[in-house]
Amino acid sequence: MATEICRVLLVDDDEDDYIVTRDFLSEAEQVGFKLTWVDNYNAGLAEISQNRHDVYLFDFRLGKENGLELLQAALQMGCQKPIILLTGVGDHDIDQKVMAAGASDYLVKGTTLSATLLERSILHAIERKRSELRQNQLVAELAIANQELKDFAYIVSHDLKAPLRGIASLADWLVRDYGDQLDDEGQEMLQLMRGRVRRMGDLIDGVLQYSRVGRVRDEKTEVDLNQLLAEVIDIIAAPSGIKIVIETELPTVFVERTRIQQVFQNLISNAVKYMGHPEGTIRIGHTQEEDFWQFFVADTGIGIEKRHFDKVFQIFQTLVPRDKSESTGVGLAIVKKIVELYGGHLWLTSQVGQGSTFFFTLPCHLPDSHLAD
Amino acid sequence: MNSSDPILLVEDDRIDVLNVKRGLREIQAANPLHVVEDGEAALEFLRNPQNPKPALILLDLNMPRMNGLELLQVLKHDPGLQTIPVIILTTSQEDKDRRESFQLNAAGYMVKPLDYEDFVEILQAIYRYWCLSQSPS
Repeated sequence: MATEICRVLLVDDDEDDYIVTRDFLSEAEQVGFKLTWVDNYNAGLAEISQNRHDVYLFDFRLGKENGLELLQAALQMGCQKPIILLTGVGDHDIDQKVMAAGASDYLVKGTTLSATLLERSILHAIERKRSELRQNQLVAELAIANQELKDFAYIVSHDLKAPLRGIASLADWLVRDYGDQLDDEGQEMLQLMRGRVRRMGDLIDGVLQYSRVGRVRDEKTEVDLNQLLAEVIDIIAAPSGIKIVIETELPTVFVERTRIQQVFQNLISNAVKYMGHPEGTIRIGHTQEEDFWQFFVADTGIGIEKRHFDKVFQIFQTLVPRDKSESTGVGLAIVKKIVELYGGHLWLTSQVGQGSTFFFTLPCHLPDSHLAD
Repeated sequence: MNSSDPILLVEDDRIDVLNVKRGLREIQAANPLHVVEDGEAALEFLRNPQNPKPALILLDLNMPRMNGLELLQVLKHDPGLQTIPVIILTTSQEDKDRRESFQLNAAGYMVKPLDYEDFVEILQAIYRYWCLSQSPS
């Protein structure tokens, strides 16, 4: 470490303070300091704009300006080096102000300041600043990667649809125009092809829906869940043998309306879809916990084996053979994504042959959904 | 629009062009169909006095050179072309595309279905409507 040279700029209107600082730094044990001194605000700012130093020390008093103003001006210029404020008198207010403004440290001159303390403060400030910059860079890179991933799912699935539609049309025209020239086997192949094309279309729509949850951001509004549930039940239009009961007076929540609608719509339509017999009951309700609501959607359907509990929440996972199901396995993945976006949890309990109950929580104070940024 | 009025299709996908041609034949729409591959070619067609003025434009959004939204933007500000009804025929289900299309005076927005039969139905509905609707001459 001794070979490393640390370049320090001191902006201080008092020459005596410069001498003290110079002497302190000359005693440094871990690194060699090279000190430059200027005695006023403008000269300090001019030096900072050159970006030639590793750390800045500002005296709080600088004639008619002060160190806080210089700090703000330096940051505005895009200064990415640590800045330490020095002052003659300890003042809690100023301390808080300069730290909030972005200073790396605040040191009181005089008897409490020593060579060791100054050196330590400088080295720590440099290290902290470095890791702060590194972290900012990582966060920025992550944000870009995240955005690219969202765009990727969207663009890819979107662009896949055009050629798929072409295949669907051609298969259709083959049947129409040349159907009579094909034997049964040829006809069946074309039918299978159209079925697969449709399934692939559904899967692509699923990816689009799933990626839309994180990508598109709507306005949050006050949503009365009693009213929303009435609409959702209306849309689902369950067969008459299936009774849907809302057991509690549901709360009003502050969320994106389409998202919470997707949550209930998917859970309730799944309950209908997997009822397994023409009659059954779906119960919906909630409990109020300390700082979150816990909702449930319970059915009397076919149930899910415990070993499949995790699987049902994964995208494209279904528990029935693909040829026998119109389900793409996207619904519960979307529910999970939305609930977790709001900082809640989603889980289920189930007895095979008896029915399943899906639970999810919503914090009463929802965090801003930064995933959509 | 009557059955002798020309329709302009702006579409770069050959199979989609076939789709529209077949579909129009199937619903017995005898209107002459002119096909161009992108927005720039559409403008060249529309601004050439030798060509007939179409009574309806069917417009894809995603195309090379000049896309559908860019073409709408130009049409909206061209007094000679702004009254031609434009129906968007696209794969995009994005709300953003729908919003922008209508902000730019689109007369309709149809998402191309996967099924040819569904497509014929859509085409039939569009065609019937525009046969009833009276456009300015």
